[in-house]
Order: sequence, then structure tokens, then C-alpha cells
Amino acid sequence: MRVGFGGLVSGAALTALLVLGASRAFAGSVQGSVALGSADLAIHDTSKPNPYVGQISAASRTAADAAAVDTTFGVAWVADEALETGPAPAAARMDQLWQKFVPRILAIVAGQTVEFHNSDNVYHNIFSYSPPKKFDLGRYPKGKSRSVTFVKPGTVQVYCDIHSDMRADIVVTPSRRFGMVGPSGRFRIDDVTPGTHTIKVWLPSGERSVTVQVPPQGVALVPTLMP
Amino acid sequence: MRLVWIESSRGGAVARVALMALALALLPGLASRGECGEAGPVNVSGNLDLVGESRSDQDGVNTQNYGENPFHTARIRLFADAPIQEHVHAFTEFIYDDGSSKGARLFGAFVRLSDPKGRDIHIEAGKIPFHLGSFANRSSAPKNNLIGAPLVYEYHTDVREDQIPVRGEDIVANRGRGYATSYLTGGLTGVGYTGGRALPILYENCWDFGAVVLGTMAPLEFAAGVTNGTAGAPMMNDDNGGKNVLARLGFVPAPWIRAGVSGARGPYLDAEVNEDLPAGHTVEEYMQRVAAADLELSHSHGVLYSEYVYNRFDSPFVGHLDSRAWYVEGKWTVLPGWYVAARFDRMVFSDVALAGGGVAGWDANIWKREIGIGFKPSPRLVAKLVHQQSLVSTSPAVTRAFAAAQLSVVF
Repeated sequence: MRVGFGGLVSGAALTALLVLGASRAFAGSVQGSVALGSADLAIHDTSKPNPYVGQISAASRTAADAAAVDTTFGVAWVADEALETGPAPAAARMDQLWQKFVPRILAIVAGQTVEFHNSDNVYHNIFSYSPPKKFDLGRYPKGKSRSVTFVKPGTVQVYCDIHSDMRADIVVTPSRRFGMVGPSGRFRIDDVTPGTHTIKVWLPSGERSVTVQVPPQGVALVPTLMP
Repeated sequence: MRLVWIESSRGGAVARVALMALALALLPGLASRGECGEAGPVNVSGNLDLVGESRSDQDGVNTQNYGENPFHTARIRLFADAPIQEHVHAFTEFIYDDGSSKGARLFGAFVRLSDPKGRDIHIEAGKIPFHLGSFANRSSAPKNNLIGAPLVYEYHTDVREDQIPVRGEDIVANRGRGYATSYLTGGLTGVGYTGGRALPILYENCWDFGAVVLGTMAPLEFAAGVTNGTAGAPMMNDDNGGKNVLARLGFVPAPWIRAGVSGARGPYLDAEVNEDLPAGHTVEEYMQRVAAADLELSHSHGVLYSEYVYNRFDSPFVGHLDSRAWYVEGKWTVLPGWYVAARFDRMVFSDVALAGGGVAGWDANIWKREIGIGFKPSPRLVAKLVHQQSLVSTSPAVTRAFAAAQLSVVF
């Protein structure tokens, strides 16, 4: 029986899918917590007065409105996973609302695109000089978006050239195995391949890492990570 | 603590008193933390600006009172602010310039009361920020696209607050002399004393003492207030019986355009010269009047700023001393972190009648242009390289040119 090149490729792809599916069928989770310091908790601080008082600004609503809908304080991910090669997930969205970035912290997978939308009545000019991705999107008004694709893993600090107190952090992870750190410091990462893994946690105050043994099924508990 | 550094510096009595006042103002707020929930911690931050020049003898047009100059080697600004209670916030700012005769000095100290209903309406009282024109919001080094300030905000004319020219020749003889102006020497016939200084048109480098109400009601921005000094002669303690009134109305019909008109009117002469005035007149009659327009346009990676300022000093013996000033400034971001910027400045002065016949400009017309590149590797660090040229139209004309590099750190 002759098997063509197309058939070989199809067979290989099917085998890969079966192997991957089998491994994910035996995937565990990582659950843990991290101690949040004052620097971490301050990222949603709304006590700072509007520095643009007397000028038309987007901060006519209180910054507390933005903080109320944003409860992410960090990102945890499996650091030793290989870069994903499949199709990238749909574009993530980071809004510019009430003169804040919403969300303040965003986690995406390498290769994913972020759509920066302006919902304010003023111009914004988003830029980043972080080594994983340097960009400057120029000024654009309410209702418009600009997109950036992040290929390299790492942390990207994002600012607005017009409003110097605006800041966001985008954590670009190598794979989809990541979870968000909530207000209590807890995080959970699902669908992790069994075995020994390095878990990294990014917080505004710095990065922490821990090695865990993930079981074929069930949850690997990480003791609270201290600063 | 950094505040101790201020105390141990060469700062004057005013700075020490203000520092104590700040401490007293903030202590109740700190003491009540956790009780009412509104008072908060003191936020302390600052800028450190370091400058190197190709020729330090060429930066004269940038010199301000007390010998301060943005092209001096080191300049530090310290900011401290804290919420006192809900809707009340206290702000202070100190400046140290290594060429200043004052050492560290109090730059600003004011309380801001905000509308309890949450509207963008506020009252500021104390030594308050400058609310005329549009440059004040970007005058500090990290926000200034270049190193120098527009001429109208810094250049000292040959009008003084403590001396009065009696003949046109008195003031014409001082054209281009700036803060070295004097009508009492060299055979001149001016009157007054030597205890004040020559005046710029707008003096952002020294905040005035007073109160202002400001805010926004989209698409309008507004500010209106009363201060002790005038636009060109701000002061903590009023030196005459009159007050300065000021106002600005801004219009932001779309995000790409911001336009505004502003004006101020107040007596600028020191009450000490009352005895030298024509019989029956007082210094409160002689005004500095300012009318200004500002415009900001932005598109893509560029932004354009422009201001026009018309000013009149009423002079008791020689009549009106008028001047016009304008500048155009542009900035374009060429790569992430890199930008180019340029500003062209011009000031022209009206004629004054001479006792010996004829007329002459009461100060020397001047232009200045500054071009530069900036590198901003992070929001806390800005490096600039600029070249500045200026020409003061005295006889002979004085031309100055130099290059400078600045590193500004936000901490």
C-alpha cells in the first residue's frame, strides 16, 4: 500500500493530537498563594489626586470605578513550558478608561495580540520600551483601537505619553498554563502536564518562583510564597 | 528624611517657616489615619536634573531670579503632598538650583479643596501654581520637551518693580540688560530705590500667593483667581495695596485640539515708590495687563504648541510699555523612546517717546530658537541634547549659541 505525503502528515498530526490529548487527560492543577506587599496592593490605589486638575481629562469619574472592576494583582504561570506553536488565541483587550488601563495587569500567551482601545474622551498615546516588545502607538481618540502582537515571553510595562500616571503591565507567558493572582493572593493554574515544573509569579513588587511536583490528576498545592 | 536635608541646606527663613507650616498641616492628617479613613500618607517624590553645557557664558537669556537657570549643572525639585481629609489635599514643592543665591527655596505650598459632589471643580489657596497660558503644566524638566522655557516665561525685561523711568532715555538705555537693569546709575534720571528686581512678562518660575477656583465643564476648562503679585512679579507678601486678578478659559472641542485665552491685571510697582509718583497718584493705578492665547494641536506621533501674549506695563512718566511675544513648539516621536523637538520664540517691544525727541523701543527685541532630540528609556528617565541660539537686538546685537545635554531623573 502506498501512502502519500499528505497521508503521512495527516497521520502524524492525528498521532500528535492523540498523545497531547492523552497527556492533557492526565493533567493536574497548581494552586497556591503569594503574600501581597504594600507595593502590590498599591497598584489599584485611588487616593492619588488627579494631576491634571483644571484640564479636560478622562478622570471625571472617580478612579475607584476603574479599581472596582479590576481585581487582578499578579500573574502565575508554568515557566518551563515550550513556546506554543499552534494558532494564537483571539486578541486580548486592554481598555483606556477613566484615565486608567483596564485591566491594570494583563496575561497573554506569546504570539497573542492585544487590542488597545481608547474609551476616554481624550487622546492617549500608548508606548513601551520593555525589551520583549518596544512600541509607540501615537495619539488616537475615543472609539479607536491599535493592536500589538507580543511574540517574546516576558513582562512589558505600558505607559501613556500624555498621562504620566497611567501604567499597565502585560505578562507574556510561553503557554496557556497561567492564572491570575487575586486580591487575597491566591492563584490557580489548570491543565498542567504531570511532572516537575517551575512556577513563576509576577507581582508589581517583583518576581518569585517555586518548583512543584504536579500529579497526573488533582492539585499540587504551593505553600504561600513570601517576598 | 529628605525634609531634613531642606532644613540643613542654605534655604532661607521663608522656606523653613513653610516647611514647619507643612509639617503642622500634615501632622493632624497623619494622626487621624484610621480614624476617619480619609487622611492618607505623605507622598514624596522629586526630579533631579543634571546639565552639561558647551559654553556656560552663552545661556544668559535663560537666567531667572536668584540666578536660577534651567541650564545650570544641578537642579532638584522635591514634591510632598497628602490628603488632609476627604476632598482636601495639601501640596508643597521645593526647588534647589546650584546657581541660586537662595539655595533651596519654597516653590509652592497650597491646599486644594475639591467639590464634594465629585465634579471637577476645585479651589486652590496658598502659594499656587501658575494658571495663565499653557506652559506651566509642562515646565518641569521631565515634561519639557527641551531644556529652556519660552522667552515670555523667563526673559527679564528692563521694567523694574522698585524703580521708575522718568524719561524715555532711562529705560531705553537699559535695553537688553534684563535683571541688571537700573535707572538710577550712569547719569539716568529714574526714581525709586534698589530693593526689587527687573520683571519678566510671565513668571512661571515663581508661584504667586493667592486663591483660584478652577475646573472643567466639558468642553470648557476654567480658572479664575486673585493673587498678591502680578503675572511678572509674583510674591508671598504683597508690596502694594492692589490685588492681581487672573482668569483662563480653555476650549477642548475635540481631543486633537486645546485652545485657551487668559488674562491678568494687577498693580506691579512696589508701594515704596509712591513718594516718587506724580502728585495725587499711587502705585495701585499702574497696572501690568496681560492678554494671552494658547493653542495645542496633536496628531499621530506629533504635538504642536503655540502661545501669543500681549502685555502692557503702565509706567507713570513714560506711558504705556507694550510688548508682544509668541512661540511655536513642536515635538515628534520618531521611534519608541526617541523624539525630536524645536521651539521658536520671539518678543518685540513698542516704542517710547524720548525726551530729546524721537522714539525708540523700550527694550531690545529678541528671538530664541532651541532644537533638540530626546531619549526617554523609561518614564523616570529623560535624556536631551539641545542647541540654543538667541539674538538680542541691542547695538551691537548680542548673539549667543551653545549646546547642552540634560539628564532628568524622576524619583
